[in-house]
Amino acid sequence: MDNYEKFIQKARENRIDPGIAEKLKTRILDATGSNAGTNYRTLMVRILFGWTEIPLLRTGMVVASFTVVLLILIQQGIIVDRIGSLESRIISTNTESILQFQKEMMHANATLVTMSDNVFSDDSIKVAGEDLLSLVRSYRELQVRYDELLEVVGEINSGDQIKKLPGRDKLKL
Amino acid sequence: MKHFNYRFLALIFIIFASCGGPDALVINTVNRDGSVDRKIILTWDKDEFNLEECQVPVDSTWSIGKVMEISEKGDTTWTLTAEKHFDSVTEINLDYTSYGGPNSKMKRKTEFLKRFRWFNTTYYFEEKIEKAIDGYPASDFFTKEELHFFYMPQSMVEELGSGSDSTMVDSILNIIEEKQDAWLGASLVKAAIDEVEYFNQFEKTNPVDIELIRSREKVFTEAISDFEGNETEMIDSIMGEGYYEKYKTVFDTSLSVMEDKFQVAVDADSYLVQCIMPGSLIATNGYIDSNSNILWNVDGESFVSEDYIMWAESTLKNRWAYIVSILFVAFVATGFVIRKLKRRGY
Repeated sequence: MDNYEKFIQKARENRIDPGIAEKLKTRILDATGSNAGTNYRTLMVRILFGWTEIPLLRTGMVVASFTVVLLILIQQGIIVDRIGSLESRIISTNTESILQFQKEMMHANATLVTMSDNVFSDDSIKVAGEDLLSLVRSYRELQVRYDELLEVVGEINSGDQIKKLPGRDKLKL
Repeated sequence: MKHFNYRFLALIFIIFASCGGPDALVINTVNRDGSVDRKIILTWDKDEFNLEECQVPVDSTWSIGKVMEISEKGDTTWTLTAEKHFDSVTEINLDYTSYGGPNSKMKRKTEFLKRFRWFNTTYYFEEKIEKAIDGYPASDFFTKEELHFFYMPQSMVEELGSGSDSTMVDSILNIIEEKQDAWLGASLVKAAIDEVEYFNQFEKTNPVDIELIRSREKVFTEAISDFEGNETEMIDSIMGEGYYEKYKTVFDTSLSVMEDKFQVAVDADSYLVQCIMPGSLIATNGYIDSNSNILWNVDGESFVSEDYIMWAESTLKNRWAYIVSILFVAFVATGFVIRKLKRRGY
């Protein structure tokens, strides 16, 4: 038998599996051109989501996702709870009314100091400083309302009626 | 040596809380980078402002403006507004250390913290005034509700007192007034004994029996509010005739030091502090007004026996962190969907 016949004999003994040939053909086609676009997408998917095939990585990513979601919920829950506890500290005033109050207190204090110069020795009584301050403020408020009332009824006359206000001379207001 | 008549302690605080000079409102606008825009509003019935007499450090480096107005009652009010930008709280603290005004003996310090918490960034600002004497905290004597009114600015107390809860407010204020003497008296006694103990350690020849004095602390506390005489007579009446004279060196020094410390609180010129924080407010020990600004009252009582810390905390959402996190969770979910599709042969 010559070499040619020996080769044919060997080829017959080692036939190629048709399935493998088909796969080989597909791979050659993929690499050379007609399936090139689909191959790029497959490659990207494999790169981005290849971790899903590795159990350890898969578990890690799941745990990380749950941690992120839990963190959002816990943080927001704590913040909402803390904001809720602020309710007891809310007041109805604002900067403007605070400044207004300061001015009023300042003028009432000044009035109190002025009044201390006009002491009635005969019928004086002892009162707490705070109560007197409150009284002076009330008097000042009453004074304004009285003036407004006079204006409304049209009886005001260059301050003549105001001068007749009881006790006004003594207090020198 | 100065002699205190301790009976008039509470009265001293009430009378001297707001007499004399202009009223001050200090507004701190805290920025995200830790810088603070400070604004001080002084109101007075005369145009005689002296910046060196201000309750907080103010000088000619500030932007200053003045306005005069006449109210419907005929009152003339002068308002001085001073503004300055501080790059950090360190600059404010430096101003406090070099301040020489009426509140110069008050030890004040501000602090700012920024904490990154991924989804939120929290901002913390505080201004701390160190206690004058080492007494008892107010919380040992007052309930939580009473403390709420104890530290409340006067304007707010007045507003609540004239509202629908006026009876309740009056009742609480009366209780506070009754407890105030006891609290101040107990704090002074404790502080005095602590000072005696401190200076006693340096007295080698004739030391005081500090344990004996401490065992009589309650007796001293009960006596201090009603005793008519000075501390020499009070100590002699409790510890025995001639006791003060026997240990005069220790008592003179320690009581003098204690009185000097207490005087810091008595001499404190009161003012209001307002704070505006970046983002949403989440916690504070101040009072929150209708514009979400935080308000505190500073007077001698607030820091007499414990550190007075005015603090506020706010938060800002980090939107980019939310976006990144949501994208990450979506990415993981997508991975699992693709895996499932692959297994089904799509």
